[in-house]
Amino acid sequence: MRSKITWGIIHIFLILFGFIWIYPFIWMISSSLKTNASFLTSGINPIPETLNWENYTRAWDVANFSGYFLNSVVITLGTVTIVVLLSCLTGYALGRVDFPGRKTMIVIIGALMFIPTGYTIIPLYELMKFLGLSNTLFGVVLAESSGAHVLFILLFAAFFSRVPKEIEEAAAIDGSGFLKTFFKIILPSAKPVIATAVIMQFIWTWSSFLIPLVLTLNNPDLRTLAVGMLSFVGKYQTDWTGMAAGASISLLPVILIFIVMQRYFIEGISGSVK
Amino acid sequence: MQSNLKLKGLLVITLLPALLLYSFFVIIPIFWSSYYGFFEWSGLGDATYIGLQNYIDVMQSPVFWRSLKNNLIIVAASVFGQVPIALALALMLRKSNWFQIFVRSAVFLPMVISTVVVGLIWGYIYDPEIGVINTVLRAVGLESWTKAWLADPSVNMYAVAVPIIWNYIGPYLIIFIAAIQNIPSEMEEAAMIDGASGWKKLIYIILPNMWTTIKVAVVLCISGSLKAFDQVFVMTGGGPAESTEILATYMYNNTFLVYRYGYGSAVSTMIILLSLILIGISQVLMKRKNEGMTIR
Repeated sequence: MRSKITWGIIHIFLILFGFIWIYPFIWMISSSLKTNASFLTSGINPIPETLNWENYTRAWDVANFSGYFLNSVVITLGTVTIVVLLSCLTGYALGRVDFPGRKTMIVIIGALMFIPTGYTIIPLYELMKFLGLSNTLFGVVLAESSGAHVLFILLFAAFFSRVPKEIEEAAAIDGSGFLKTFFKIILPSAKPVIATAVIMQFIWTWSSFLIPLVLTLNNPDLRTLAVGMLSFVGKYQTDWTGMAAGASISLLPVILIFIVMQRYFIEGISGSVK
Repeated sequence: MQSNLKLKGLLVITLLPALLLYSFFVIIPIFWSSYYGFFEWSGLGDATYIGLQNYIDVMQSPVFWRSLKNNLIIVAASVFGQVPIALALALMLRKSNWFQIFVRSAVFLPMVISTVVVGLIWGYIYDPEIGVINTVLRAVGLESWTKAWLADPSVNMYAVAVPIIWNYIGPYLIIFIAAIQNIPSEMEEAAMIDGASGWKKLIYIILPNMWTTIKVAVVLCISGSLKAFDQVFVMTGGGPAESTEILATYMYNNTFLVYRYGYGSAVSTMIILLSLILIGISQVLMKRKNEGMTIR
């Protein structure tokens, strides 16, 4: 009986907590559907009087979100592919292959986690100029892919250290080379970890701000959604409803990737925290 | 011999690409950055060698030390905000019925909103005229509590820290839930038979089993919040009067706002040195780290 009451209280608390927690999110969606006038008069009431889609067309056409959207897609897909492939390879070597210096390397990689990549933005900017990659999307992709990806490497290493060795041995007997074995057998077997890495890297790159901000300072056409969002902030006033519409647009792909991959996501994380 | 060669080939294929990318775009820029620190340079034209002057200026700049202090406030708020809240929620949300999954998703939600949007939304929430907080306070008759949350130097650093906590709590919740679910059920059953329940179970069974995960979470939390930039840059840009300046905004403003590339580079070198010191501390803290991530 007592525990039932406790659970009742916890339930009520969780519902309240959950609602306050997602209020900013609800505010964003609802403001994107309000007219500017009703936005200013409605206070904190999240329900719009009429559904008004004009903010979306304004964001998409006038604020150039169509262009930003494409840039974000190209940069994110490029970065996710490179990062997941490289961390999978590195994780495989560390978790699977016995080579001298492996332990040392794991310790070093763990330490690299602390070097904040964003702080080298000035030389990175110069480096891109030097390579002729400044003002190209490829330059942004390279800069975004270059972090240490410690978390993913450790996840992959932990995963591969638990896969039975016979798999590769069987493949080796069949005369299959490493790369073939890797892409045909090893990579597909790591689905849960791959899904986790894809989702996390997708979220990070999609919302990444400092690198695209600096690398596209001179070229507004290459801006990503995250950087372009600032165009709604004026010096004297902010276009709140337009900003909310832009933010809602930029949220769609993330939600989509979540729905597609969430089945593997939790599995990938729980497998690794053993 | 042949297998030795094969091993080398394998290592080249698996490790070299990542190593190259990392050294080229992370390691080299770090040294390049410390080298720039010796010059007076506006980004255009010629750079003048001025020795250690930039580094001395950084050390003597009160704003640099204030940025460091503000940054440590964010680190502390993240460690003492995110980890305990995520832990408490994980203990309440460890079952997988629809209600708990729903609340879990709600907690994770801010994670998928881009950091710039988080900054913009909270900029609105804190707005002195139309913002949610002041509107609610006025509605319940607490007019005197209303504030310019992001402008008032007595509260704005804490106001800035809240959205960062809100933004990043989700992943810790998931890690903790996974850790709780991985505790062998026999252990809990044995504890039940011994008559341990509620708090006792929590203190003697659950927490000790999660200890390494908690330590990993704390380290991730420190390194993550040391890199904080986006939300603060969008909400305040470090102002007003540099009162919410953190290390990253201080570097950015010096470099790209007033074009002191050399000085900005010196700042980033100092920040990297600071991070290296934190590596040392955390390595001591996490001596038995390999328990958390099983790599045998």
